[in-house]
Amino acid sequence: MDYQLIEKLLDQYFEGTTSLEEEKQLKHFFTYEEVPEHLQTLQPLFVHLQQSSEEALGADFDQSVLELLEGKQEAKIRRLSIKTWMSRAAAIVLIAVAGWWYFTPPPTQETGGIDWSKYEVQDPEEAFKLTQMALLKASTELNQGANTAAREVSNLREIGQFFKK
Amino acid sequence: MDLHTFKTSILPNKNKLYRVALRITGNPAEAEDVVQETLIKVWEKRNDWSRIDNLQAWCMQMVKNRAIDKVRLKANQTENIDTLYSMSSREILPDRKAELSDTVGKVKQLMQQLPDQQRLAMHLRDIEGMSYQEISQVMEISLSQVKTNIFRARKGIKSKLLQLWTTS
Repeated sequence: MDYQLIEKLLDQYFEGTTSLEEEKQLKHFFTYEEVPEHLQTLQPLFVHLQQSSEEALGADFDQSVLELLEGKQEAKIRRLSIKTWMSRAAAIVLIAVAGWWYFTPPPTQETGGIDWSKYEVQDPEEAFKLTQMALLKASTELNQGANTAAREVSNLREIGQFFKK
Repeated sequence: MDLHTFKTSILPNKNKLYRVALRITGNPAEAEDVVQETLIKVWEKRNDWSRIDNLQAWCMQMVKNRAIDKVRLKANQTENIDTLYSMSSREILPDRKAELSDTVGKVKQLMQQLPDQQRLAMHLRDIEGMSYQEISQVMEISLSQVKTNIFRARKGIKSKLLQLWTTS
């Protein structure tokens, strides 16, 4: 092993002028080669760097991440399908309402009003009788109302006299 | 297609993202949460991928920001050196490890004591092997600031290591 080269690389490393490849060489040397005594002071640094570069996540990490991603994808697909379904249903309802409104004819005069002429009395005598009967009925009901009112007034008077005593 | 890109170009960076998050939060469980949350965010922004030059640096920047937010929220950031150290997945130099483990642990502590910017810049360069340009993008600072931070961090560690060596 060319220790002079290693010493030169070490100087460059601490000056910050080594390349990534040269830094790898240093780590490899201090971790796997026989290190002379005068360089052993710095050995722990490079061993630490080498060991640290081997720290890793557990084997099941990939699986757990991919499952999470798949879960997210499925949720998105489900959300999309509901959204699509809703928009399609809304479109169908809109078309149906628009079609019904467009094709239904507006109401005509015949269907909209009542033809009262069919019930009109043509005979003057019959008309007179009908009017007479209607007035009689009104008069009878008015009389009944007056009698009821008179009865109520009489009752009130009796109650008033009872309290005066 | 998006899922394929995610699996081939983004997910393979998970350990780099994790280490950056770990360096900032100092907590393995929190760091894992940060990476997971970031990857989901990255996925949600998949429509932007085509406009991004360097997906890795972009993800790294997102992890960094999310981890910093988490630390700020938590306020009392503590690092369990033993936990971190025991996470090394590979046994390096079994014969030398015993004698080195103490000083390696001390280096880890020294790195944790560095100012935030210096620590992150040195981590991205010396552990993740990123170019100065990429680091500048991730840290959202200039190229010269990146170089200065790395230079100071390395010098600081070196001088403290030499001090340790002479006192022991």
